[in-house]
Amino acid sequence: MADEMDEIVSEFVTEAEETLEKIDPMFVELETRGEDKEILNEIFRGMHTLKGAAGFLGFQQIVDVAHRAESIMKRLREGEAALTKDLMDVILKSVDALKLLIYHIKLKDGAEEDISELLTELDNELETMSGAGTQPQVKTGEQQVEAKVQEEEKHEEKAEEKVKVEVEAEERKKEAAISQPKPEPQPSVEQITKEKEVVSTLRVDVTRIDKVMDLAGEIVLVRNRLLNLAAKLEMSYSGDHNVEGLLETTGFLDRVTSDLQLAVMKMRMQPIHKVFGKFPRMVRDMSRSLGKDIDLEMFGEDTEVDKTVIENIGDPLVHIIRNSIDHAIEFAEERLAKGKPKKGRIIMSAYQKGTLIVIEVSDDGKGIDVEAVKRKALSKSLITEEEAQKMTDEAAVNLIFLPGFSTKEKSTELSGRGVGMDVVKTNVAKLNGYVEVITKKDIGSTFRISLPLTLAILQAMMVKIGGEYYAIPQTMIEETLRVKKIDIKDVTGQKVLTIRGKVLPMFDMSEVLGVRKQGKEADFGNSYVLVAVVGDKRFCISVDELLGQEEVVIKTINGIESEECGILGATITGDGRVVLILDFAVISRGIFRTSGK
Amino acid sequence: MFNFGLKVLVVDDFPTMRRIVKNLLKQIGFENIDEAEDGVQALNKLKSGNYGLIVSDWNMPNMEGIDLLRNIRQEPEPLKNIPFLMVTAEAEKEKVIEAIKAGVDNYIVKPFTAEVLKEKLEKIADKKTSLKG
Repeated sequence: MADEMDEIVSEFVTEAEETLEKIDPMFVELETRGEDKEILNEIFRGMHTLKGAAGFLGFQQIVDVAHRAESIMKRLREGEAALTKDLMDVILKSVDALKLLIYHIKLKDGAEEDISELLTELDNELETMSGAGTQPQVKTGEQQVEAKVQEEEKHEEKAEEKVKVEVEAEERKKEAAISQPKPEPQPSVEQITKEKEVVSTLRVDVTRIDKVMDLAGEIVLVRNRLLNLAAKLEMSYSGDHNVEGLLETTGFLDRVTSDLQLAVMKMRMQPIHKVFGKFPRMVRDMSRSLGKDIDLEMFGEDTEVDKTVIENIGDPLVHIIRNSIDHAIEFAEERLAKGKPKKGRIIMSAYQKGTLIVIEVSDDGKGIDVEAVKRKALSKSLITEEEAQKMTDEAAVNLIFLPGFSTKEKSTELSGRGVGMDVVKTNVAKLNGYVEVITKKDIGSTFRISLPLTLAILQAMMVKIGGEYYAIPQTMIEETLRVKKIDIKDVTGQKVLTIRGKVLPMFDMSEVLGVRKQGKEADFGNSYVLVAVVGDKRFCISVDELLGQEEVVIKTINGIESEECGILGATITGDGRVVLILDFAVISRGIFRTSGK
Repeated sequence: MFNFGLKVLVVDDFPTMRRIVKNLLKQIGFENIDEAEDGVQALNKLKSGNYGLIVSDWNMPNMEGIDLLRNIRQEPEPLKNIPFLMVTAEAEKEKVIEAIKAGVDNYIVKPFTAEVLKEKLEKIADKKTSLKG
């Protein structure tokens, strides 16, 4: 029981300290902003709570001070007295005294403070207040409270009837009050809350946040390195208590770092409404100038995305929507002839899916004509005749993202010349995302943009390919397998692997990257395979070794500008290696184009 | 004596207070004690769990004890009639009346001992027999 008591006391000390810490800045706010009911109430509550708990624990001095301070706060809160400099001084003094008293409890030094002077001061203030205020009755001191309580107790026997009478009296009073309404203090209260909202947000220069982001990134790298070293130490000196301590500490650092990352990330998040907001007007203006009738619907505008996304997603969306209005959605008579509603529809939506943010733009237009796209690409020598024949519809649709592609014979004024859908792809790629197009003739098209939640840090699978280490973003990997070499089949020159009844094409990563395969590893009967997902494409990638998952910080490589090289950037791993991060979105496009799958 | 198997909900925003009240309830003999840190949390818990007694502080952020009480009395049976003991810092007449009007079963003034708490609960049990063991 004694231990339990000790625990309760130390808990009380911690909480009391926290409560008092919070009160200090509130006074500063009160001073600058005048009497804010909310703040007054907060301080009142703090004192009240302290008093209550201290009473249980027998800390009479705390009760004495807190009770008086509480009484003063209460009157201020009720508006029965005004907050003067003197009052503020004496309450601040009380806070200090309480801190001191709690400090003694913490130290268990049993030292007593002479608080009689402060108590007298508080009593004097209360008396002055009472003189000025409307209610003269404020008796202080725990004894008085107790006396009152006892009095209440005594009466309790008869409480039932008595209360009934009093309740009725109360109700009568209330009715009287209703018939004679008091002036409403409402507006001023509202004003205050509004002001408070302004103060609760802070405008910070973006460069500062980015700096924090940068540093958080560096900490991630250091954390990874530390975790790595600690794990190695554990292997060589397992059981050593210093190593154990180190492991514990790095474990803690690990968690804190993750939290820090998340917190910094959140600082940069803004609702996508900032981007979506301009589209209703744009759609209206554009469709009107074209003589089309189009409705725009938007969903998930509250979805929060990184600031960089906000800044860079606008242009791609403008292009997609222009395209939909200009090329996809038919004129009214054409729509009617097809049995579609006269009004065209464009739906924009944003939502979070796992660690991805998905932004979709759908229209109910005519869809993308795959053959026309192929013909156009051929005529512009973007693809060869052979490629065109082998190409899947899906791959063909993606041709629209090639630079300088435009299916309409004559570009209209709106869509402009030259700058086409390739802008969409480039900008989205810059954000480490990818675009998919789902299209159906005369039903419509959907452009789906998938973006990672954060741009700076990503979960990656570390692999070894041809003696080199690479990182592959986890978002693109669905699963990892170890398969027997004999399970890999060959179908018309394309390696395939059957996973749970589904046949997936398989590519050897060392061939794709053109790195030399390490002979001896290739001889084992097993192969490590990653099932990659890019858009709705699924395929297998074989690698020499799987090294595990790591959180990596993307560092851009100077000199690599092209999005088409298949490299997102580089990172420094836990063991100090510089490793390239592969971009499967680009790589898959390359391999599917050459394989014709 | 009481039905010590009843689930008790202690509501207070100050963790130390919750712990103290919990200890006192344990001293009396209650075993199944849960906590909530304000009225909102308490109400959520009450709606989803099977509680038999509430000991709630008055002064709390988000939803005060008195509003918690009023809300409970609006709920359907059996939550509507759950025994409610209000913990107050001082027994001001107006406040006691306010609480009784809201349907409180009894009130107790801080600080209190296990003895006093027991007495209060006994008084409640006289009216609300669900509390009796």
